[in-house]
Amino acid sequence: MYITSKSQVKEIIDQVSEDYCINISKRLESLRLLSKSLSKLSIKLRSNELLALVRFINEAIDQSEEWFQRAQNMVLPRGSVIHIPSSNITLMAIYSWLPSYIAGNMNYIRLSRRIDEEYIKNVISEIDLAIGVDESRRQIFYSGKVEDEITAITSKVADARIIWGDNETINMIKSKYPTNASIEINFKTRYSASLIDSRFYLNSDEDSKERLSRQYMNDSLLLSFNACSSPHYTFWLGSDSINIKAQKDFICKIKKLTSMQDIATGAITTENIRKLQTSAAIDNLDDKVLEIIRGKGVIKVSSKRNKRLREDLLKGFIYYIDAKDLNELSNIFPHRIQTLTYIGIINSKVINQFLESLGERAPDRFVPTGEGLKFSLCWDGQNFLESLTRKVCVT
Amino acid sequence: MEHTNHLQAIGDLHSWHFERCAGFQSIVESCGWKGNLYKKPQDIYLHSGIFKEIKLISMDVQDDILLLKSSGTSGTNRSHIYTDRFTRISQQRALQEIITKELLIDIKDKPAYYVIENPKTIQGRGIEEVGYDARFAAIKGFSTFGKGMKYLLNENNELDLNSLENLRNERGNVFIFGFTASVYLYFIQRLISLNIRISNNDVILLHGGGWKKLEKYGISNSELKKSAEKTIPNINCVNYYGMIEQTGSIYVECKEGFLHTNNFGLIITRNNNLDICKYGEQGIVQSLSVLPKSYPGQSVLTEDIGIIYGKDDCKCGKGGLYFKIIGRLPKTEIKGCSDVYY
Ligand SMILES: [Zn+2]
Repeated sequence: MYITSKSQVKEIIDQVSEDYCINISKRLESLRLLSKSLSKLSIKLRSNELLALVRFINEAIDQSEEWFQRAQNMVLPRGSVIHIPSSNITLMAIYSWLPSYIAGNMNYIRLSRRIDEEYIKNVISEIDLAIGVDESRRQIFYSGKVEDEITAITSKVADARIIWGDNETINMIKSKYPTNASIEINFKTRYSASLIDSRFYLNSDEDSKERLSRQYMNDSLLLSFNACSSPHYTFWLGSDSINIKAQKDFICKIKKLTSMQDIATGAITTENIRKLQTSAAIDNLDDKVLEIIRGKGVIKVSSKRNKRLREDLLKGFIYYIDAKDLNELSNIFPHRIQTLTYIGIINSKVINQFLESLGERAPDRFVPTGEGLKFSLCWDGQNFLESLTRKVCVT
Repeated sequence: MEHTNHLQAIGDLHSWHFERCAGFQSIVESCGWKGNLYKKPQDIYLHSGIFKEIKLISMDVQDDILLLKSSGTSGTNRSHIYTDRFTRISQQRALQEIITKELLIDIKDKPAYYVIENPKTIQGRGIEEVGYDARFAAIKGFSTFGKGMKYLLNENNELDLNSLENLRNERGNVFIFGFTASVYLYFIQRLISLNIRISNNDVILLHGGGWKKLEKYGISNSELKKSAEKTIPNINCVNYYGMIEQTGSIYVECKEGFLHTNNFGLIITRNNNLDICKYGEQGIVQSLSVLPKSYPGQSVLTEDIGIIYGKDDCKCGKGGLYFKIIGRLPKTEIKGCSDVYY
């Protein structure tokens, strides 16, 4: 339910019991309805974003069904959860809400004022229809002028709070809105990377090359390379000459895909170029930019220089790193990688060996290129359902 | 792109700064643009925000350097522009050529000069330790085209009625300068609400600077013009576009309501991948100026959105590219995926 006034939220806190909740099979059933109606809406609005959400919902239904079956103890909701999603991804609020709803919680979800109100209202009314009147009074989306007050009120009463933000944002919210929540989940900024087998890429036919570069761009274009799921590093596996050849071809294909008229993303492009130029002037980089894509400089770094990659420089750049093989890559592989996408048939035994060799630097996810944005119930190494439910232990 | 003269001059400036300014050199080299210095000078630009982040200077001798700072309240977020005497003189000369030509102001028979400004905001903003304030510099820069200087606002941003009376009693031409938002909010609107008409024969009102403040009132340039004409029937209300990084080479609005490029400045618009736009397309504005020699401000990528409509075929009869500034890029603060909180 979408609310805009303080009295509405007070009424809900007073009247709606957070203990009440329909059982898991009913919850999943209502999500199946939601998936169908959003799928229709995505066609009507020609929205790829919604289509991705539908895929996520379907995935979530399957994964949760399995999870609840495996959970042997009695699983109960936490109670009420407040969500403070990032505002740069329009449907982030829904992504944050969904697993918590599956867990059976009552939810308060703050919507950024920057998000297209009509669009998100459309989605919320589909949710209300799918989950029914009673349940919709327990799933509260809010924004507008009262957003500040509601965040303050609900932070006090909630049992859990989820914040998507960098340290600064998280600290700001913590000090501005004190909470008694027993669980606080903070998703900090992470980076992602891509792994490309250069020979595999070069041996692919033109159509496949185009498809692969499009998939790579799908992972990247959201926020013009700034999303945590977009590859900030791209590792190229192969000999130097093969890598150079593959990069040339790849960049050429990508440049064709990036150019379009969209002034809103122009703001991100200029911000990217500002960061690039600031770093260039201040840090006196040794590395030269191969190409500028959406204001981000593609910089080539050799893995042979045996230096850990500097995270602070990621702001203006996309790194292309050559490595002879996975062994060599393992030496310089950075920390805090969230998703590692890959292009090329890499056999599972080799993959496992590689991930093992990374130790604590292993990424959270290893998925084919193009699936970087695919959400999972497991995020940042954290299983939402585990965190947002409680189990009754009987000894 | 034809503007051969401009581009040649910009190419010369690029290599001048490349040799003298380490920051500019690093940026050009890091961006992989070294090969463009002469070949594609239009494809080398600095983001305007760079002047807020680092000191960019292309001079060895520093005694006649003046620091120009963009107007702003916070100390950290102001652009720092270092000008030497040579650059200042050429900027003033360019301004003179543009103003006398475009506004038909006779420098030998100067009009009376009025500023829509609160004297208090200017006080203490002159040459001081922290540098020269851009707002002050603009008022000062335009003062050479008029005689005397009178403030039309008092210290509370109200109309200074004495000063206004003086203006109404001027026998000759009057030249009024102000920042767009102040012109509308503190001058035109007040005149309308006080029901005051100014019936002087010849009034030129030049205004420029951010439209952002006016956007929330839903005021466009043509609306501003209309309301100005309502209360000052014989007014020539002219908008200009300029930036602190390129003092002197400003772009002045023509009778048809378009800004025009001139001998000193050139405009390019770019799409979200920084490729050059076609005429008629919205794009990010890049401005070139042949003037800056003491700092690398010859090619600046702004955060303004503009449309270039064509070249040499504006109905007003003036040559050059004619364009409009239609807004500013939305504020972004991209830190990563999970962070934007607004
Ligand atoms: Zn014209």
